[in-house]
Amino acid sequence: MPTETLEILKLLVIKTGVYQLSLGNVLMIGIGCGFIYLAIARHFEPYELLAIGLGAILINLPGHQVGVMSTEMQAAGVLGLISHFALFQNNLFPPLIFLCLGAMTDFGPLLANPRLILLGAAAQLGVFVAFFGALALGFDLKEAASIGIIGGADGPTTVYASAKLAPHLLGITAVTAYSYMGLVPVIQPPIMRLLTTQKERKIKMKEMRKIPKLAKILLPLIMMIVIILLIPMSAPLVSMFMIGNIFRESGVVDRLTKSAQNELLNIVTIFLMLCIGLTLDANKVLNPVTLKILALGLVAFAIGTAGGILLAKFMNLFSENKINPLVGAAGISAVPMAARLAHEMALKEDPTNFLLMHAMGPNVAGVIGSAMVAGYFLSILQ
Amino acid sequence: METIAKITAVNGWMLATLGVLSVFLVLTLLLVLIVVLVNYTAKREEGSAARVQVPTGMRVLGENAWNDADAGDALSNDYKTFLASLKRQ
Repeated sequence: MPTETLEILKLLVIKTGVYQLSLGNVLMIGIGCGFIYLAIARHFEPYELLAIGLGAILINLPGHQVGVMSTEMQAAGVLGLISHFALFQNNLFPPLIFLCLGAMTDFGPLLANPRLILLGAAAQLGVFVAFFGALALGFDLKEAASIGIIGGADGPTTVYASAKLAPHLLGITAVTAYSYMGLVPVIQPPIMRLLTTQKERKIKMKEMRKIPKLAKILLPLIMMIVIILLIPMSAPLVSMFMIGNIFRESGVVDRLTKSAQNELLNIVTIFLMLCIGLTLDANKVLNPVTLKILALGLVAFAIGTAGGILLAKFMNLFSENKINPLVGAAGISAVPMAARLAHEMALKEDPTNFLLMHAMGPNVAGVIGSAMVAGYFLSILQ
Repeated sequence: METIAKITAVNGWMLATLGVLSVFLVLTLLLVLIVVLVNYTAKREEGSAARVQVPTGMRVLGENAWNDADAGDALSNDYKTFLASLKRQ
C-alpha cells in the first residue's frame, strides 16, 4: 500500500471520535445514560433529566464542536449558539422560566394562610449552611454562593446565580440542583420522620378561607414592588414571576397565560436542559470539586428541609391553629414535588388528612425566597 | 458595594447572617402586607355583598333602571308608592 494512502487512513482514524474518546468521556456518557434511565424508567424529573442526559452524551462524543462556541458558529450548531448567547452571555432562560412558573402559580394558599410564608424563608437556611460549607472546603465567595443556591432547590435560580457568579460551575450546580429535586421523595422523608412525631404528622390544618379575586391580583403587584425595591438584583427573576402571575390572575389575557404555561415553558425547557447537559464535559466535570459540590448540595437540601420543619414546630408553640410540620419541608422551592410529598406523608398517617393546598403556600414562598437569596448574593458579590 | 464585599470576604458569617436576616425581614414584611391585603379585600367583598342585599330592594331596582326603561317605570311607580306610604305615616 502506498505511503500516501496509509497517511490518509491514519488521518481518518485520528479524526474519528473513537480515537479521541477518553475514559472520562465514557464515564460521562454512562452518567448521561443513567439520567435518561432515571427519567424514563423512574420518572425522576423527566422533563429535565432526559434532555440533560442527552446533552451530556452529545458533548462527550469527541471530535465535533456542537455546543462549543468558537469562531466557526456553524460548527457550534444551534445548541452552541443558544447556550452561548442565551445562557452564558445573557442568561435569558431562567427569567423566561420564571415568567412561565408565575403563570402557573396560585397564590391562594399563601393568601389563605399568610404565616406559612415564613416557612419559605426558614428553608433558605440550607443555602447559607452550604455556603459556609463551601467556604470551609476552599471555594471562593462567588463559588460558595453559587453552590449554596442549590439548597434553594430551585433549578432556574441555581442556573441564574451560577451563570453570573461562577459560570465554570454552572453545569454541575445545575445538574446537582435538578437531580436532587428529582430525588426529593428519597432525600426528604427520612428527615421529615426524624424531626416530627407521629402525633405532629397527624395534625389537621384549619380549612382555608376563600380568597377574593382582587387580593390575588394585587398580591403579585405588591410583592413585585416591595421585593424589587428592597433587593433590586432579584428583579430579573421576581419581576418575570409576578408578571406571569398577574397575567394569570387578571383573567383577561387567557391566550398569553396559556402560552406561558405551555408553549413557552416547553420551548425554554428543551433548550435550557440541553444546554445544561452540554456543560457536562468530562474534562470540566470529572474532578474532586464535583464530588464536593454533590455533597454540599445534599447537605443544603437536608438543612433546608429541616429548617422549614423546625420553624413550623416553633410556630406551633405560640399558636392555637397548629401547623402540620410536614408542610415546613415544602419550604424548599421544588414545586410541586415537595408539597406533594408532604401531602403523601400526611396521608400515610391519616388517610383523611389532605395537606396539599396547605403545603403549596410555603412551596411558593420558597420560590420567592430563593430568588431573593440569589438577588442578595448577586447584590453583594457581583 | 466594594466595601461590603471586602468586609464580607473577611467575615463569611456576616454575609450569611445578613442574608438570613434580610430574607426573613422581607418575607415578614410581605406577611404583614398580605394580612392587610386579605383583610381589606375581604371587608370590601363583604361590603359589596351587603350593598346588594338592601332590604327594600329599591337600590337594586334603581341600578337596573339605568338600562331598562320598564324597570325605570317600575321604579318610579314603586318610588311613588313608597313616598305615599311615608306620607300616610
